[in-house]
Formats: sequence, C-alpha cells, structure tokens
Amino acid sequence: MIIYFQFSFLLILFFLLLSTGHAQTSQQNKTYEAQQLIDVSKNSILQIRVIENTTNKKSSIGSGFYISSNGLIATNYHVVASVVQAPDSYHLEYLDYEGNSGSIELVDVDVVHDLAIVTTKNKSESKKPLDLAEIDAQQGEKLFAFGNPHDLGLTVVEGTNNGLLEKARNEKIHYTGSLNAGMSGGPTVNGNGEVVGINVSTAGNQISFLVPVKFLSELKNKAENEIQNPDKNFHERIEKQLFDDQQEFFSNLLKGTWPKEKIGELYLPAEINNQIKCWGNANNDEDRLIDKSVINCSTEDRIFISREFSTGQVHYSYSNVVNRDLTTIRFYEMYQAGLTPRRPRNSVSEEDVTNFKCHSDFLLIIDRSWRAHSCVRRYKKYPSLFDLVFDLTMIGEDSRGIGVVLLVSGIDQDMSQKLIARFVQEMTWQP
Amino acid sequence: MAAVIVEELNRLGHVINRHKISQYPTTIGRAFNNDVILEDPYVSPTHVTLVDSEEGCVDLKDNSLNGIVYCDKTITGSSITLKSGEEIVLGRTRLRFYAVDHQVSETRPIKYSIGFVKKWTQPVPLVLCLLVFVFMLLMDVMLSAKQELSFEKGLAELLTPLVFVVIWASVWTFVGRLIKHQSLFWVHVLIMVIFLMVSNVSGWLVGVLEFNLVSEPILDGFQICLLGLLIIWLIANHLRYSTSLFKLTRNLSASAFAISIAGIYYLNTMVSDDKIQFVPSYSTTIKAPYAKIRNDSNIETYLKDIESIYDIKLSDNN
Repeated sequence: MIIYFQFSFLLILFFLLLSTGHAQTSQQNKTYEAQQLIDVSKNSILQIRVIENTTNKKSSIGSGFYISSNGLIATNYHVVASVVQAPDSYHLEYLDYEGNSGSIELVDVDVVHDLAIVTTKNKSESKKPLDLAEIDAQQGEKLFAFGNPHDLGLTVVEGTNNGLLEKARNEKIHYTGSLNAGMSGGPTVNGNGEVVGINVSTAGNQISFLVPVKFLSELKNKAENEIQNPDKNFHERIEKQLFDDQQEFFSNLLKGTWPKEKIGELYLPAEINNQIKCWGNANNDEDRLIDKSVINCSTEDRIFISREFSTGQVHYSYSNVVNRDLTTIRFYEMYQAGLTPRRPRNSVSEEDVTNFKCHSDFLLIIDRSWRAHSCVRRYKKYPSLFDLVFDLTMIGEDSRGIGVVLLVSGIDQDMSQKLIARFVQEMTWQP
Repeated sequence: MAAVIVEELNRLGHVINRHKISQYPTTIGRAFNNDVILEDPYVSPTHVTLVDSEEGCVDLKDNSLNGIVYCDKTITGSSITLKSGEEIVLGRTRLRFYAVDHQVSETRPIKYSIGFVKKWTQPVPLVLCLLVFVFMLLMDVMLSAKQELSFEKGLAELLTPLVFVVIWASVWTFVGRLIKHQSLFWVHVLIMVIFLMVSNVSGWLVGVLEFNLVSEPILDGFQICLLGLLIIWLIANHLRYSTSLFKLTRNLSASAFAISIAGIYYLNTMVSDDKIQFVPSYSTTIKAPYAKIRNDSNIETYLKDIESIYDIKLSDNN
C-alpha cells in the first residue's frame, strides 16, 4: 500500500514537472516569434509625418512600410489626406527605426480602400521591402500588427484574425488586437513575416480593422506604372475611384430583391442588402397625443476624403404617426411639427460642396398624395458626384401620416434617379 | 394798430401754440415778465421786441445773445420787418407771424365720419372687439396646440399676442404725442387688433383653399404687405397736418420708413446666413385634408422635373 502511494505520488510529481516545463517552453516560443518578426521587419517600417509648411512642425503622424526595392512605401490614404487636399500647406517626411528622416512624395491613392503609396525622393535611402502575402490569412490565425502608436516608437501588437467583416461596404479584416492612433498605415503580418493587412481603424476594446493586402497589391501594380509617368492630378483619380465605387455599389443594390418592412399599412424597403442595418423606436408615454414610430436604416461605413469631408453613406428612415384623440387640424399641426428639412449624414465643409438645389411637388404614389422634395448638392472637387435628399410626406388622410426620407452621400445623377424610382416602386399598400 | 398772430411751430411744422398780439410794444423771451413766454434755454430773457409796422406785418428788434435767424441769416442787435406768413427762429423755437387779415386755406372736406372712430373707441364697442379677438385667439390655440391643453398653457399662448398689441399701441401713442402732441392709446389698440384678426382669418382661409406650392408664399406676402401698408398709413397720418412738409414728401417718407425696415430685415438675414447651407431649405408646411390638394404628378414626370436640380454651376457664389 505504502509503495503504491509512493509510486502514485512520484507519478503525479513527474506530470506536474512536465507540464510546468512545457508551459515555460511555450512562453519562451511565443516571445521569440514576436521578437524575431521585429528584428526582421523593423528596418522596413517607418513613421510617416505630415509637416505643416508654415510652422514646419508635425501636423499628424501615421505608419508605413516599404513594399518595393525602388522605394515604394505603403500607408493609409487618411494619413496623407492633408497633402492631397492642400498640397501647398503640407509636405511628407518619414522617420525610420534608426532615426533617419527624409522627404517622401505621393505616388498614388485608393480612397475607397483607404490606401496610399508614397516614395522616398532619394532612392538610396530605400530599405528592404516586406513581402505581401499571396494567400489570405485564415480565420483564427495569429497575426502581428506593427506601427508607431502615439509617437512612442515602433510597437508590435499581437492579435487574431477573425475573418472578413460580413456587413461592410468595402472588405475589411476584423482583427482582435489593440490598434492605436499612429499605427494607421502600418503592416499586419503573419507568422512568416508576410503582410496580410494594413492597419486602418479601431473601434476600441480590442476590435480593430485591417485593409486586406490584395487591395494593396492592386494599387502597387498601378503605382509601378505611375512612378514612370507621374500624374499629380489626384483629384481626378479620386473622383474616378468614387464614381466607379458608387456605380458598382448602387448597381448591385438595384439588381437585388428588396425585403420589405410594414409601417402602418404601408410596406417599405427594409434591410435591402447586408451592409444596411435597421433600428426602430416608438413613443410609449402614457399621455401621448399621437402614436409615433420610427425606423432608421443605414450603412455603417464611410469613405474618408479629408478631416472635414466624408462620403459613401446611405440612410433611409420611415416615420408613422397615428391620431389618438385629436381634431384633424390639431393632428396635422403635430404631424407638421415633427417635419424638418433633413441633411445627409456625411461631414462636409464649405470648400467641399455647393449649396443645395431643390425641387418640390405633389406626387401620387399607391393612390395617395405625397408632398415630395428632392434636393442635391454637388461636390466641388468631384463634380460628377452629389449628395441627395429625397423627402416624402403623406397627406390627405384624416388620422395618419407617413414620412419617408432617403439620404445618400456620393452618388451620380443617373444612379440617384434610378434609386428614387426604385424606392417609390417598392412602396405598396396593404390594409 | 394792426393785430398780429404769432404761431409757435415744432420741427415738422405743426402749430403747437398761437398768440394774438394787439398791443405794442410786445416782448417775447424766456423771462416771466414777457408778453409771450418761450420755454427754450437758447432764448434770451427778453429776446425780441415787437412794434407796429407801417410797411409790413410787424417790426422786430433783436435784444438777444444768440440773435434771430431770418431767411437763413443770423441777425443780432438790429431790426427787421416781417411780412405776413414769414418765419423766424429764436434759439430753437420757430415762430411764424400772420396779419389778422391773412387769407386762410380752403376748408378740407371730411372724407370719413369722425364719429366712427369715437364710436368704436368707446368702452362697450372696444371691449366687444377685444372679446372677439380673444375668442379668435382661443380658437386658434385649441385647434393648433401641439401639446396637452391646460389653463396655464392656453393663457401663455394668449398672452403673447395681447402683450404685442399693448406694446405696439404704446409705441405709436408715444410717436403720436411727439409728432402731433396728441394720440389715443385705444385707437392704436383697435388698429392692431383689427390687423391681427384679418391676418388670422386669412390664415384660416388659406388652410381651406387649394393646397399648392404658392398659397404659403402668397399668404406670407399678403401679411407683410398688409403690415407695410399699415405702417405707411400710420406715419403718413401722423404727418398729415404738418405744414412744413409737402404731401409727396410725407408719403415718400412714410414709404421709405416701411421699406427700410424690410431692407434691414433682409440685410440682417443675408449677413447672418452662412455662405453654405448645410441643411436644404424647403417648406415642410402641410395642410389638413379640408383643403383640396393640387393635381399630383406621377413619378415619371417628377423624375423628369428634378433633372434641372443637378445642373449646379461651380461658381464663387455657390
């Protein structure tokens, strides 16, 4: 018996020692991977600085990395947007791991995917580029994000690939890792040191996003041509990218079948594609004089053009008001009190857009009268694109009213008319 | 010894006082021992002495520090002869002299019954008018209240137009007393109450007329014109008995005043508005279904009509 217990004790002790030893080895392996990647990659990763010309001081910083031996550097568009929008006021510089700095200039941009390619003016300063992965990262794969958060120097953040976002207008990798400001434009690499994504944004709480490397590969190919025949008209390129992107987005939207939502007795478009999410609300106060319910649907993504200007958003909302116990005149006073002119959801400044131009009329839709307003404003630098407001208010019913509002930023004339036509066509009445 | 009438005038030529001088010499000045006493600190204690004239209406001798202004010239220490109807200025006081046989202007026919105004500003008709006005305001509140009706809220809604009427009447009474030295507070109350009732009724009428895209701007325009005409009429009426101003001058001044108020409002709107409107401006007014709705367009026609809004020129003003 004693011998049995002694043997069991020795066996348990043996397994305990074994597992402790294994844990120590695993810990040592994990640290070694990140360290090795830093050693391999550090000279290829840069801090990108936007310098304001008057003060000659940093206006903003981001990260970037070499992608070719002839000095092409990848970063985010939003890191270098100031130089694109106000080239006379800003210029670009880099700072590398060894503390060397130098001038860089813009080569090409992809605003839709928030990418940009810059290059060193002095090609001899160029360092060994990072390899771009040819196979997508697997969901659950461990990844390492590099960058310069808050101007603290080169930092690595370990995280996990959670696959592509299902409901994004433009493909993004969902990365579980804490990206911080300043890391934008930096590379996220796999265990082999190949770039699988470019840091682009974070939602906090270890929820971050990467631009898939395939978009960088496409831009790199274009940039190789661009560097031979440089064309510095970035606004034309941006306009074409935005135009093509909205053409593709709205063409796909209009091709599909639109599921419907019931508002009162009216059926209206609901979540018309997987990038649009809808939320509802109603007034439930006991002493309410009218019943009012609201549904809001919108895309979540936007396309960054500059700090004051964004585009690429779609929003539509419905409101249903029903009279409880008021005279018709009082009901209409309250119905009218809830109506205000609406504006698109994107941010704009005076330099970016014109004033709105509107047309109002009465429309007959599904045998009911509606007051219709259509307003557009043009983009000053990208004149083929508009922001659209389409506002419908149902009139002529004693005890109920319905409002439909469609707000779109970054759409061309042809698409906007097709979108309005489709919206109206989808409205059906079923008592 | 011919008697003479001395008229004291304000700046606008309204007669504020008359004195009949039958005895000479007569003195005019600020001191209490004068025959005509003027309340003007720029007038000397014994400013002028009037004596009978053989050639003109009256002779004046100046005894003052500041002199007298006659025919745009300042005369100090010497005498002048005035004809009937001529004016002089003593200090800041205008005096006009008439011989007693001076021909007066023809009698003006009264085109309205003075009794009408007096009748309606008597307590009973005035109170009845006010009651009708309050009733109309109450109807407006009950029909259009956007929240639960209660005594306090109803009272708050009523007070605003009533306070506006009181302020309006007070201002015009003050202006009237300044210009004409007479003005009746209740007349101005009545005028504004009638204006607001007409405005209210026109708003209700538009509510049942056809709902189209022009009825709202027409109503706004009608109310603004009505207010403008009211202001012009009030000013012209206050200046009506001015002897210093021609009829054309009076009417133009009144019109210019009303137009300048509109101009200041418009300028203020232009200056305070942002160069770029980030929210489109379109009317969100709707009408209850008592009003017939204008003919509706179909979606095809509508889409054709809105093509023009995309034609936005990229200019400096845009």
